[in-house]
Amino acid sequence: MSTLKPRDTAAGSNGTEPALNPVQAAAEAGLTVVDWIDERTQLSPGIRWMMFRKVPRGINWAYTLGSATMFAFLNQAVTGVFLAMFYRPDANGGAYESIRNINDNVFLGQFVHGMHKWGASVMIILIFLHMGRVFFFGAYKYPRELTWIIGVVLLILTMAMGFTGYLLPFDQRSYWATIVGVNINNTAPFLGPYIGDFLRGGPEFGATTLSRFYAIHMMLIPGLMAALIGLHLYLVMKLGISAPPWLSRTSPRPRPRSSRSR
Amino acid sequence: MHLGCPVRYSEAAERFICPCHGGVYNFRGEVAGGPPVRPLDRFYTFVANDYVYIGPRYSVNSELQRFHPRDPGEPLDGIGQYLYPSRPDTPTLPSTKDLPLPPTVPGTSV
Repeated sequence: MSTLKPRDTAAGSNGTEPALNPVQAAAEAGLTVVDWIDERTQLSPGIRWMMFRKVPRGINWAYTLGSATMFAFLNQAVTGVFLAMFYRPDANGGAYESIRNINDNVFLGQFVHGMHKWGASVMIILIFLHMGRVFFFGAYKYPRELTWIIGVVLLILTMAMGFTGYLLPFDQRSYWATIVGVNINNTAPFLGPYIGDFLRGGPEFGATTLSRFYAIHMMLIPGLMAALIGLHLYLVMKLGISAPPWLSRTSPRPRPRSSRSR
Repeated sequence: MHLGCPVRYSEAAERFICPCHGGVYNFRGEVAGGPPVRPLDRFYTFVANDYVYIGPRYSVNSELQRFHPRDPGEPLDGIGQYLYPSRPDTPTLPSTKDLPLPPTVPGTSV
Protein backbone atom coordinates (compact mmCIF):
# COMPACT_ATOMS: atom_id res chain seq x y z
CA MET A 1 0.00 0.00 0.00
CA SER A 2 2.96 2.32 -0.40
CA THR A 3 1.22 4.13 -3.25
CA LEU A 4 -1.56 5.22 -0.94
CA LYS A 5 0.83 7.08 1.34
CA PRO A 6 2.72 10.23 0.49
CA ARG A 7 6.22 9.21 -0.45
CA ASP A 8 9.23 10.39 1.40
CA THR A 9 10.87 12.65 -1.13
CA ALA A 10 13.58 13.99 1.15
CA ALA A 11 15.82 10.94 0.81
CA GLY A 12 16.56 11.38 -2.85
CA SER A 13 17.23 15.07 -2.69
CA ASN A 14 20.93 14.98 -1.80
CA GLY A 15 21.96 13.88 -5.29
CA THR A 16 23.79 10.70 -4.24
CA GLU A 17 21.32 8.06 -5.37
CA PRO A 18 22.71 4.53 -5.79
CA ALA A 19 22.50 2.96 -9.25
CA LEU A 20 19.30 0.97 -9.76
CA ASN A 21 19.05 -2.42 -11.41
CA PRO A 22 16.48 -2.69 -14.26
CA VAL A 23 13.76 -4.21 -12.04
CA GLN A 24 14.11 -1.46 -9.49
CA ALA A 25 14.16 1.12 -12.27
CA ALA A 26 10.93 -0.27 -13.74
CA ALA A 27 9.27 -0.28 -10.32
CA GLU A 28 10.47 3.25 -9.74
CA ALA A 29 9.06 4.34 -13.12
CA GLY A 30 5.71 2.78 -12.30
CA LEU A 31 5.58 4.49 -8.95
CA THR A 32 6.47 7.77 -10.63
CA VAL A 33 3.55 7.39 -13.03
CA VAL A 34 1.17 6.51 -10.21
CA ASP A 35 2.41 9.44 -8.18
CA TRP A 36 2.02 11.76 -11.19
CA ILE A 37 -1.62 10.72 -11.56
CA ASP A 38 -2.31 10.75 -7.84
CA GLU A 39 -0.84 14.21 -7.37
CA ARG A 40 -3.18 15.61 -10.03
CA THR A 41 -6.34 13.64 -9.26
CA GLN A 42 -5.95 13.30 -5.47
CA LEU A 43 -7.39 9.82 -5.81
CA SER A 44 -5.65 8.20 -2.87
CA PRO A 45 -7.47 10.23 -0.18
CA GLY A 46 -10.72 9.25 -1.84
CA ILE A 47 -9.72 5.60 -2.05
CA ARG A 48 -8.57 5.70 1.57
CA TRP A 49 -11.91 7.30 2.55
CA MET A 50 -13.76 4.58 0.64
CA MET A 51 -11.79 1.51 1.68
CA PHE A 52 -10.77 2.26 5.28
CA ARG A 53 -14.13 3.09 6.79
CA LYS A 54 -15.21 2.24 10.28
CA VAL A 55 -17.95 -0.37 10.38
CA PRO A 56 -20.09 -1.15 13.41
CA ARG A 57 -19.55 -4.17 15.61
CA GLY A 58 -21.67 -7.21 14.94
CA ILE A 59 -22.02 -6.99 11.17
CA ASN A 60 -22.40 -10.35 9.48
CA TRP A 61 -22.76 -12.05 6.12
CA ALA A 62 -26.20 -10.51 5.52
CA TYR A 63 -24.40 -7.18 5.02
CA THR A 64 -22.71 -8.52 1.88
CA LEU A 65 -25.98 -8.91 -0.06
CA GLY A 66 -25.75 -5.40 -1.49
CA SER A 67 -22.28 -6.07 -2.87
CA ALA A 68 -23.53 -9.40 -4.21
CA THR A 69 -26.33 -7.58 -6.03
CA MET A 70 -23.83 -5.15 -7.51
CA PHE A 71 -21.67 -8.00 -8.77
CA ALA A 72 -24.76 -9.61 -10.29
CA PHE A 73 -25.33 -6.31 -12.11
CA LEU A 74 -21.71 -6.24 -13.30
CA ASN A 75 -22.10 -9.83 -14.52
CA GLN A 76 -25.19 -8.80 -16.48
CA ALA A 77 -23.32 -5.83 -17.95
CA VAL A 78 -20.30 -7.87 -19.08
CA THR A 79 -22.25 -10.82 -20.49
CA GLY A 80 -24.74 -8.40 -22.07
CA VAL A 81 -21.95 -6.62 -23.94
CA PHE A 82 -20.78 -9.91 -25.42
CA LEU A 83 -24.34 -10.93 -26.35
CA ALA A 84 -24.88 -7.57 -28.04
CA MET A 85 -21.89 -8.30 -30.29
CA PHE A 86 -23.87 -11.13 -31.89
CA TYR A 87 -27.50 -10.10 -31.44
CA ARG A 88 -29.62 -8.52 -34.18
CA PRO A 89 -32.91 -6.82 -33.21
CA ASP A 90 -34.67 -7.97 -36.38
CA ALA A 91 -38.30 -8.94 -35.93
CA ASN A 92 -38.49 -10.88 -39.22
CA GLY A 93 -36.77 -13.94 -37.82
CA GLY A 94 -33.32 -12.34 -37.55
CA ALA A 95 -33.48 -11.89 -33.79
CA TYR A 96 -34.45 -15.50 -33.16
CA GLU A 97 -31.87 -16.66 -35.68
CA SER A 98 -29.09 -14.62 -34.06
CA ILE A 99 -29.95 -16.07 -30.64
CA ARG A 100 -29.90 -19.56 -32.15
CA ASN A 101 -26.52 -18.73 -33.67
CA ILE A 102 -25.22 -17.58 -30.27
CA ASN A 103 -26.41 -20.78 -28.65
CA ASP A 104 -25.24 -23.20 -31.34
CA ASN A 105 -22.21 -21.72 -33.10
CA VAL A 106 -20.53 -18.95 -31.13
CA PHE A 107 -17.65 -20.09 -28.91
CA LEU A 108 -19.01 -20.25 -25.33
CA GLY A 109 -22.11 -18.48 -26.64
CA GLN A 110 -24.60 -20.71 -24.90
CA PHE A 111 -22.62 -20.33 -21.67
CA VAL A 112 -22.61 -16.53 -21.84
CA HIS A 113 -26.28 -16.49 -22.82
CA GLY A 114 -27.05 -18.75 -19.86
CA MET A 115 -25.00 -16.55 -17.53
CA HIS A 116 -27.09 -13.57 -18.67
CA LYS A 117 -30.43 -15.38 -18.43
CA TRP A 118 -29.90 -17.07 -15.07
CA GLY A 119 -27.90 -14.12 -13.75
CA ALA A 120 -31.01 -11.99 -14.22
CA SER A 121 -32.97 -14.28 -11.90
CA VAL A 122 -30.09 -14.35 -9.43
CA MET A 123 -30.00 -10.55 -9.45
CA ILE A 124 -33.72 -10.31 -8.68
CA ILE A 125 -33.37 -12.81 -5.82
CA LEU A 126 -30.35 -10.99 -4.40
CA ILE A 127 -32.15 -7.64 -4.61
CA PHE A 128 -35.06 -8.97 -2.58
CA LEU A 129 -32.74 -10.57 -0.01
CA HIS A 130 -30.83 -7.27 0.24
CA MET A 131 -34.10 -5.35 0.58
CA GLY A 132 -35.28 -7.77 3.27
CA ARG A 133 -32.02 -7.33 5.18
CA VAL A 134 -32.33 -3.54 5.05
CA PHE A 135 -35.99 -3.67 6.04
CA PHE A 136 -35.77 -6.13 8.92
CA PHE A 137 -32.57 -4.57 10.29
CA GLY A 138 -34.21 -1.13 10.19
CA ALA A 139 -31.34 0.18 8.08
CA TYR A 140 -33.69 2.37 6.01
CA LYS A 141 -34.28 4.77 8.90
CA TYR A 142 -32.81 8.24 9.32
CA PRO A 143 -30.43 9.29 7.84
CA ARG A 144 -30.59 6.59 5.17
CA GLU A 145 -34.06 7.20 3.69
CA LEU A 146 -32.65 8.52 0.41
CA THR A 147 -30.51 5.39 0.02
CA TRP A 148 -33.69 3.34 0.41
CA ILE A 149 -35.58 5.44 -2.13
CA ILE A 150 -32.78 5.10 -4.68
CA GLY A 151 -32.77 1.38 -3.98
CA VAL A 152 -36.49 1.18 -4.73
CA VAL A 153 -35.93 3.00 -8.03
CA LEU A 154 -33.15 0.53 -8.81
CA LEU A 155 -35.53 -2.35 -8.05
CA ILE A 156 -38.10 -0.93 -10.47
CA LEU A 157 -35.43 -0.41 -13.12
CA THR A 158 -34.24 -3.99 -12.66
CA MET A 159 -37.82 -5.19 -13.16
CA ALA A 160 -37.99 -3.10 -16.34
CA MET A 161 -34.75 -4.73 -17.48
CA GLY A 162 -36.29 -8.14 -16.95
CA PHE A 163 -39.43 -7.13 -18.85
CA THR A 164 -37.60 -5.66 -21.83
CA GLY A 165 -34.95 -8.38 -21.93
CA TYR A 166 -37.52 -11.15 -21.96
CA LEU A 167 -38.74 -10.11 -25.41
CA LEU A 168 -35.34 -10.07 -27.10
CA PRO A 169 -35.01 -13.79 -28.01
CA PHE A 170 -38.28 -13.25 -29.93
CA ASP A 171 -39.45 -16.84 -29.73
CA GLN A 172 -43.07 -17.84 -29.12
CA ARG A 173 -42.71 -17.69 -25.35
CA SER A 174 -41.19 -14.21 -25.23
CA TYR A 175 -43.55 -12.89 -27.92
CA TRP A 176 -46.77 -13.88 -26.17
CA ALA A 177 -45.45 -13.17 -22.69
CA THR A 178 -44.61 -9.62 -23.73
CA ILE A 179 -47.99 -9.13 -25.42
CA VAL A 180 -49.65 -10.12 -22.17
CA GLY A 181 -47.23 -7.91 -20.21
CA VAL A 182 -48.00 -4.88 -22.38
CA ASN A 183 -51.72 -5.55 -22.04
CA ILE A 184 -51.37 -5.68 -18.26
CA ASN A 185 -49.89 -2.17 -18.51
CA ASN A 186 -52.89 -1.23 -20.64
CA THR A 187 -55.23 -1.93 -17.75
CA ALA A 188 -54.03 1.10 -15.80
CA PRO A 189 -56.96 3.54 -15.71
CA PHE A 190 -56.84 6.61 -18.00
CA LEU A 191 -53.11 6.33 -18.81
CA GLY A 192 -53.15 2.63 -19.67
CA PRO A 193 -53.85 2.87 -23.42
CA TYR A 194 -51.12 5.48 -23.80
CA ILE A 195 -48.60 3.41 -21.83
CA GLY A 196 -49.38 0.50 -24.13
CA ASP A 197 -48.90 2.64 -27.24
CA PHE A 198 -45.58 3.88 -25.86
CA LEU A 199 -44.32 0.38 -25.08
CA ARG A 200 -45.38 -1.04 -28.45
CA GLY A 201 -44.32 1.97 -30.47
CA GLY A 202 -47.86 2.24 -31.89
CA PRO A 203 -51.10 0.31 -31.79
CA GLU A 204 -49.58 -2.87 -33.22
CA PHE A 205 -46.99 -5.16 -31.70
CA GLY A 206 -44.16 -5.61 -34.18
CA ALA A 207 -40.71 -4.65 -35.38
CA THR A 208 -40.84 -1.21 -33.73
CA THR A 209 -41.59 -2.87 -30.41
CA LEU A 210 -38.52 -5.09 -30.63
CA SER A 211 -36.09 -2.31 -31.53
CA ARG A 212 -37.64 -0.11 -28.86
CA PHE A 213 -37.30 -2.78 -26.18
CA TYR A 214 -33.73 -3.44 -27.35
CA ALA A 215 -32.79 0.24 -27.04
CA ILE A 216 -34.41 0.50 -23.61
CA HIS A 217 -32.78 -2.72 -22.46
CA MET A 218 -29.22 -1.97 -23.49
CA MET A 219 -28.93 1.82 -23.57
CA LEU A 220 -31.47 3.69 -21.48
CA ILE A 221 -31.83 1.61 -18.32
CA PRO A 222 -28.21 0.41 -17.93
CA GLY A 223 -26.97 4.00 -17.93
CA LEU A 224 -29.60 5.04 -15.41
CA MET A 225 -28.82 2.04 -13.22
CA ALA A 226 -25.06 2.63 -13.29
CA ALA A 227 -25.56 6.25 -12.26
CA LEU A 228 -28.00 5.38 -9.49
CA ILE A 229 -25.78 2.54 -8.21
CA GLY A 230 -22.95 5.07 -7.98
CA LEU A 231 -25.17 7.41 -5.98
CA HIS A 232 -26.39 4.52 -3.80
CA LEU A 233 -22.81 3.47 -3.02
CA TYR A 234 -21.75 7.05 -2.33
CA LEU A 235 -24.56 7.40 0.20
CA VAL A 236 -23.67 4.06 1.81
CA MET A 237 -20.08 5.24 2.27
CA LYS A 238 -20.96 8.77 3.29
CA LEU A 239 -23.52 7.74 5.90
CA GLY A 240 -21.78 4.56 7.08
CA ILE A 241 -23.26 1.15 7.71
CA SER A 242 -26.01 0.86 10.30
CA ALA A 243 -25.41 -1.32 13.32
CA PRO A 244 -27.43 -4.49 13.71
CA PRO A 245 -30.65 -3.81 15.61
CA TRP A 246 -29.73 -6.11 18.48
CA LEU A 247 -26.82 -3.84 19.41
CA SER A 248 -27.94 -0.80 21.34
CA ARG A 249 -26.36 2.44 20.18
CA THR A 250 -25.60 3.60 23.69
CA SER A 251 -24.49 0.33 25.21
CA PRO A 252 -20.81 0.35 26.13
CA ARG A 253 -18.39 -1.98 24.46
CA PRO A 254 -18.37 -5.22 26.48
CA ARG A 255 -15.27 -5.49 28.58
CA PRO A 256 -12.91 -8.40 27.96
CA ARG A 257 -13.90 -11.50 29.86
CA SER A 258 -10.63 -11.50 31.81
CA SER A 259 -11.31 -8.13 33.45
CA ARG A 260 -14.84 -8.92 34.58
CA SER A 261 -15.23 -9.31 38.31
CA ARG A 262 -18.11 -11.20 39.81
CA MET B 1 -58.98 -12.20 -25.36
CA HIS B 2 -58.31 -11.80 -21.69
CA LEU B 3 -54.86 -10.14 -21.80
CA GLY B 4 -53.63 -11.10 -25.24
CA CYS B 5 -53.22 -14.85 -25.25
CA PRO B 6 -54.82 -16.27 -28.40
CA VAL B 7 -58.06 -18.10 -27.60
CA ARG B 8 -59.22 -21.07 -29.63
CA TYR B 9 -62.53 -22.83 -30.02
CA SER B 10 -62.73 -26.11 -28.13
CA GLU B 11 -64.99 -28.57 -29.93
CA ALA B 12 -65.47 -30.69 -26.82
CA ALA B 13 -66.47 -27.78 -24.57
CA GLU B 14 -68.30 -25.90 -27.37
CA ARG B 15 -66.66 -22.79 -25.99
CA PHE B 16 -63.65 -20.53 -26.64
CA ILE B 17 -60.93 -21.30 -24.11
CA CYS B 18 -58.00 -19.03 -23.20
CA PRO B 19 -54.92 -21.18 -22.52
CA CYS B 20 -53.23 -18.72 -20.17
CA HIS B 21 -55.58 -18.15 -17.24
CA GLY B 22 -58.60 -20.24 -18.11
CA GLY B 23 -60.92 -17.59 -19.51
CA VAL B 24 -64.02 -19.16 -21.09
CA TYR B 25 -66.29 -17.60 -23.74
CA ASN B 26 -69.46 -19.08 -25.19
CA PHE B 27 -70.08 -19.45 -28.92
CA ARG B 28 -71.17 -15.78 -29.15
CA GLY B 29 -67.98 -14.62 -27.43
CA GLU B 30 -69.68 -13.67 -24.17
CA VAL B 31 -67.74 -14.36 -21.00
CA ALA B 32 -68.79 -17.71 -19.56
CA GLY B 33 -66.17 -17.87 -16.84
CA GLY B 34 -62.69 -16.95 -15.71
CA PRO B 35 -60.98 -13.56 -15.49
CA PRO B 36 -61.93 -11.80 -18.78
CA VAL B 37 -63.56 -8.41 -18.27
CA ARG B 38 -65.46 -8.15 -21.56
CA PRO B 39 -66.63 -10.39 -24.43
CA LEU B 40 -64.42 -11.29 -27.37
CA ASP B 41 -63.82 -8.48 -29.84
CA ARG B 42 -65.65 -8.74 -33.17
CA PHE B 43 -65.01 -7.76 -36.76
CA TYR B 44 -67.29 -5.89 -39.10
CA THR B 45 -68.23 -8.15 -41.98
CA PHE B 46 -69.93 -7.37 -45.27
CA VAL B 47 -70.71 -9.20 -48.45
CA ALA B 48 -69.41 -8.00 -51.81
CA ASN B 49 -68.40 -9.72 -55.02
CA ASP B 50 -70.17 -12.81 -53.66
CA TYR B 51 -67.59 -13.01 -50.88
CA VAL B 52 -67.64 -12.18 -47.18
CA TYR B 53 -65.11 -9.48 -46.34
CA ILE B 54 -63.73 -8.89 -42.85
CA GLY B 55 -63.61 -5.23 -41.83
CA PRO B 56 -62.13 -3.44 -38.81
CA ARG B 57 -62.22 -4.77 -35.29
CA TYR B 58 -64.61 -3.41 -32.67
CA SER B 59 -65.18 -4.13 -29.00
CA VAL B 60 -68.42 -4.90 -27.20
CA ASN B 61 -69.51 -4.70 -23.60
CA SER B 62 -71.38 -7.43 -21.77
CA GLU B 63 -74.67 -6.24 -23.37
CA LEU B 64 -73.03 -6.52 -26.83
CA GLN B 65 -73.14 -2.75 -27.41
CA ARG B 66 -70.48 -1.63 -29.89
CA PHE B 67 -67.47 0.46 -28.88
CA HIS B 68 -64.30 1.60 -30.58
CA PRO B 69 -61.66 -1.14 -30.38
CA ARG B 70 -59.97 -1.35 -27.03
CA ASP B 71 -56.86 -3.25 -25.94
CA PRO B 72 -57.34 -6.54 -24.13
CA GLY B 73 -58.00 -6.40 -20.42
CA GLU B 74 -59.87 -3.08 -20.51
CA PRO B 75 -63.45 -3.38 -19.25
CA LEU B 76 -66.29 -1.57 -21.04
CA ASP B 77 -69.10 -2.00 -18.50
CA GLY B 78 -70.06 0.86 -16.18
CA ILE B 79 -67.31 3.44 -15.83
CA GLY B 80 -64.88 1.16 -17.68
CA GLN B 81 -65.62 2.87 -20.99
CA TYR B 82 -64.51 6.20 -19.48
CA LEU B 83 -61.46 4.79 -17.66
CA TYR B 84 -59.98 3.44 -20.88
CA PRO B 85 -60.34 6.00 -23.66
CA SER B 86 -60.00 4.76 -27.21
CA ARG B 87 -57.42 6.11 -29.63
CA PRO B 88 -58.30 9.31 -31.45
CA ASP B 89 -57.34 7.74 -34.78
CA THR B 90 -59.65 4.75 -34.40
CA PRO B 91 -60.23 3.21 -37.81
CA THR B 92 -63.67 3.68 -39.27
CA LEU B 93 -65.62 1.40 -41.53
CA PRO B 94 -64.07 1.59 -45.02
CA SER B 95 -66.16 2.10 -48.11
CA THR B 96 -67.26 -1.03 -49.89
CA LYS B 97 -66.16 0.36 -53.25
CA ASP B 98 -62.88 -0.63 -54.90
CA LEU B 99 -62.46 -3.71 -52.74
CA PRO B 100 -59.54 -5.97 -53.52
CA LEU B 101 -60.78 -8.98 -55.36
CA PRO B 102 -60.58 -12.19 -53.38
CA PRO B 103 -58.08 -14.80 -54.53
CA THR B 104 -59.43 -17.45 -56.82
CA VAL B 105 -60.09 -20.76 -55.15
CA PRO B 106 -58.28 -23.58 -56.92
CA GLY B 107 -60.62 -25.83 -58.90
CA THR B 108 -63.47 -23.32 -59.07
CA SER B 109 -62.27 -21.11 -61.90
CA VAL B 110 -64.24 -21.50 -65.12
